[in-house]
Amino acid sequence: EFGCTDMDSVIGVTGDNFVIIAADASCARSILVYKQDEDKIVSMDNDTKLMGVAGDTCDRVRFSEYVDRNLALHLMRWDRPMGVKASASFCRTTLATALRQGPFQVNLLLGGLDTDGSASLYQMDYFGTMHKNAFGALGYGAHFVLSTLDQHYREGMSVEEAMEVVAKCVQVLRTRFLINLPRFIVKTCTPEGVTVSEL
Amino acid sequence: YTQEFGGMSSSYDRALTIFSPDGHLFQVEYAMEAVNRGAATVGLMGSDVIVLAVERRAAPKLQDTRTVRKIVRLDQHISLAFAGLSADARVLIDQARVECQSYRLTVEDAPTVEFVARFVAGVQQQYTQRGGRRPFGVTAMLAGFDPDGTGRLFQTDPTGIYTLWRATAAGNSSKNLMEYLEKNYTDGLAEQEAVVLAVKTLLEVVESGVGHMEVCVMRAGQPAETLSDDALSAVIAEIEAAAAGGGDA
Repeated sequence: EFGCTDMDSVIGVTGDNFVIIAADASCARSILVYKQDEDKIVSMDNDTKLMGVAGDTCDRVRFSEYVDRNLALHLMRWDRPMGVKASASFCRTTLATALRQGPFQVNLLLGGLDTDGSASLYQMDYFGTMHKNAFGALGYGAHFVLSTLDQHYREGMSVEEAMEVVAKCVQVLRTRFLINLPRFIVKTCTPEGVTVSEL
Repeated sequence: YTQEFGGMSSSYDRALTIFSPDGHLFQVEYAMEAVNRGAATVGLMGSDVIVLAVERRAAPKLQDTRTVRKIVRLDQHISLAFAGLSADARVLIDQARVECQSYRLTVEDAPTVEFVARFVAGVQQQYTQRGGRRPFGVTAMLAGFDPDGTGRLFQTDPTGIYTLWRATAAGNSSKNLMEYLEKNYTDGLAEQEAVVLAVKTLLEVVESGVGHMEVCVMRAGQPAETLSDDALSAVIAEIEAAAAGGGDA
């Protein structure tokens, strides 16, 4: 059975100076749920970047740890963190190089703050396709959540307003998506750092 | 190839790292000489800190010295100071940084200072034996706190050995500095005492003044702190006042 990125629902939203990434906490295969407290969002580079990853646990963990370690190495070498765009490009190149050797079967949302305080979000799939967007979603859940985001997302929202939009997305999934997702872990990256909450 | 016998060394001993007839590795010994010409470097352990202090040599007037950092971070919890060839040290430092992150990726834990020191020493040893390359002209001091909270100060040298120290000195006038440390160092120094002793030791051979030295203080579980110019000049002033007031030990 090849890698399945559909079963993880990940949502990402940006504001002028913050990024919110929410991911369901279920780890399951076929009809069996392994655990309901899996954290699929990695906080990297001293809490300046968040990466929500969709895919089977093995590739998800392998990829996110690899990226995390390489960002840390860059920080040690250059005494300053990689920018968000550079980090995303690093992820993309890793995915694209691995594709024809031993692919990482993961889709991801990488969002973070640059040193000037501006926020950005990048969406990637396991081929190495990359797009910069104001918001994004991964998995089956994306089919439902993107229309909610299209309807409610505004540029320049406050953190609270953005959280309400994310809550609406989760609500849509709980109403219309077949798979029960009782728990979402939500991480918010602001200039003060990363805060963790749940929906 | 043929080799002369009976002499202390032949022309071959200087080109490659092979033994001389009387058991010397001349290239390695010459590398130690290069280290002895390097900037004076001091490292010492306090009861809960480790202090690294290095001499800063005068740079050309037009050079912007902002980016020249002599005491570098290898990982969140390990710093390195060195005496000897800066370019050689750069190579070792980068390899050590990669090794630290590689260790964390594989083991999901921070490497001990000994592990990294053994790695650096291992690299230096390879260049005394294989490949026909010259040794690294670097003596490195690795300082940091292990995951269990124990502070460690290791030193590597061009021969490829690594040794554990409570206090050590390398580079210019290291013999004199070691003698000074052996006379004045005690275990269990508080943070301020440790900083003062490190600076005092350096001042034996280095000109007084904040521009002539760089001092780094490492504490368990915290990022390494390079002393600001203000903090350092306060320490130097305190030392000079004590020396002027009473006798100096």
